[in-house]
Amino acid sequence: MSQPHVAHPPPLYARFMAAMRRSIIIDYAVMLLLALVLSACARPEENAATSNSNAAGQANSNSASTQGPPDSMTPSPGTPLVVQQLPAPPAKPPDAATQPAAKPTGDKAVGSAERAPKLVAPEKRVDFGKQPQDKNLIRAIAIRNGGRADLKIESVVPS
Amino acid sequence: MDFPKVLRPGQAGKIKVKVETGKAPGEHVKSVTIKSNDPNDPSHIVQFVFDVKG
Repeated sequence: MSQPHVAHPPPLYARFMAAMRRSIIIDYAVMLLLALVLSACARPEENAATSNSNAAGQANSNSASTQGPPDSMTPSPGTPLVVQQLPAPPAKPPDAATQPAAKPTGDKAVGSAERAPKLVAPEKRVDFGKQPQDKNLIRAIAIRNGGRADLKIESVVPS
Repeated sequence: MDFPKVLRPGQAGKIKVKVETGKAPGEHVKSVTIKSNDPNDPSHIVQFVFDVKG
């Protein structure tokens, strides 16, 4: 005698897990459906203008850079190329400030003000005070060459 | 006048000047002109001031 096969209901734990799986699947399905609906409702212009404007700009700039110069810079195939000569920059005279400072070698060539000799005489007015008549006053004036070239004293004349 | 003919860069020297007071009493101003190849001061003037007692 065989007993008829009676389907035992699944245990409570299994039923609970199955319900949980179903609920999770339903949740995911609802979220996916919601996302699809939202993306379908959004207009593509609005998408590009608002939410994805940066990406669109970057894409444009990248594509422009990869495509080469704009049309205004590319010559048309019929016109010959014309080389426009730029005006030449004004010729700079040899400036003493731009040239490196030369060492004081004592050469005769004094090309710049930096290499020129410089007479330094601290005393410009010597006061002897009160003096008797017919007296010879002798005074030594200190001078120095403060330049970078030889100082040649040509003459010392009374005036 | 006794003076050095050439001064090297940085070199110092002295110019010996002799001034005669003369007989005229009163204040006198005399000067000497140092002529050199200094492009900025080719004629440097040094004045000497003295007062001759009468």
